[in-house]
Amino acid sequence: MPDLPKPVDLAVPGFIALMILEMLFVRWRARGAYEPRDTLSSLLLGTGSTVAGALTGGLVLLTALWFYELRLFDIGWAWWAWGLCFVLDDLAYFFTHWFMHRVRWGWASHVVHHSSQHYNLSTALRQTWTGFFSLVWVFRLPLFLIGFHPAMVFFCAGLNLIYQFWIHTETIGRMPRWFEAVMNTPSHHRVHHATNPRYLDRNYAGVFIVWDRLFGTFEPEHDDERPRYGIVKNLGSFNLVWAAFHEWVGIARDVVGAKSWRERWFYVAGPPGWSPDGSRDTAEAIKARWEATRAQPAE
Amino acid sequence: MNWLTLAGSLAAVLVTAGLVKLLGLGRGDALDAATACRLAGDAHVGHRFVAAAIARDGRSALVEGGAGEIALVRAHGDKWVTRLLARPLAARVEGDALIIAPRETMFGATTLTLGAAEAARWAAKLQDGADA
Repeated sequence: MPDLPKPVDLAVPGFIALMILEMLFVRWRARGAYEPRDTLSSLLLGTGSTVAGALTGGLVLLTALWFYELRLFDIGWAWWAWGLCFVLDDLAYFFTHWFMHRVRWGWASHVVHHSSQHYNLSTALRQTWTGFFSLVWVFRLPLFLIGFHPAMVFFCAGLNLIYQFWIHTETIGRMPRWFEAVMNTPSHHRVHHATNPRYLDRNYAGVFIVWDRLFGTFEPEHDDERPRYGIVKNLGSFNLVWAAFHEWVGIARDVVGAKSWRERWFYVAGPPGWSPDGSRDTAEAIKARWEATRAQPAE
Repeated sequence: MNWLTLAGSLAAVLVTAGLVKLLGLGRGDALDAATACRLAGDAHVGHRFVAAAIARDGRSALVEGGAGEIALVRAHGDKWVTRLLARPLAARVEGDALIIAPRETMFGATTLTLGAAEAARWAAKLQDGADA
């Protein structure tokens, strides 16, 4: 196994420096927002995520190496392989991210990242403790099967994560048009973190926004509709453990109380907010109600 | 990851969060009736809230919709959380304050200082009213 550096570990001092700069900018320019307990929650969730990753990383690596043994091609370490790996890893991330939003099992893990009502650089570090359990890492397995070395894939995944750090900010409006067209940006990702019905479940991209444009999930940020951050039912608590596990608790309660195997399946694998009688809200239901409200004539 | 790295990370977390406090960031505003109705309407798509009772500290409110639905708006740091209240809901009056606790894990009770008469009026609505 080649001993490549861990890009995220190297980037941590930069993350902290940029967060401090953003805080100072927010203080002096009143653009963006920070709140002490929210920041503390986000950063502690990030630290916990690192610990969880260290505990389960070995199993992910073993699985990756096992898939790599079954590889279809010997891609090796050529310069073009790095570029191709980065692009394909980003595509895998897009599908992972889609799963994390559209399937409750994935959402139970990923909801942590969206549970802050703030959108600043500390939100980027608000990460799950249950990523291994939610199986989101299986979306990268095809890369090993194709023939990309696990060390190369994990290195590219680290670069992907670093890219996604800087887009969690309100201090940057829009980037140049060509950049907005191709790359994920603060503007595109603000949309992703918003709970406005128009913005729900949009912009899953990691680095390249072209995936959303290609698969029909792109929504631009509208100047007349400021994003409202958080989740549809904001927690109202800064409790870390609740933030990390509340949706898993919800799944467990629903599965125990379900009346049939069909219900159990949809409580786990249906979209977040699914219920047998439709009494809860999925993103689609909220969007439909919003569309209906818009269609009504103004009083 | 070793213990030293973990200890260093925790120290950096505490310093960074402390800096947010030191800079005086995250101080919330007080609610007014229009804002409370807008916040509840934004959070509960399809509902339109038209009347509000604001707690004296401006950090929580009860809002009522055109169809009789009632929502709680409560400060959460410098942001707000809202809940549509399923009725009948246990609500009690203590002096000038109305104390309500939506049936939800970790959400906790909210104390709204509304004045004795207003608190009693809302308590009656929440305890007796059927869901709109």
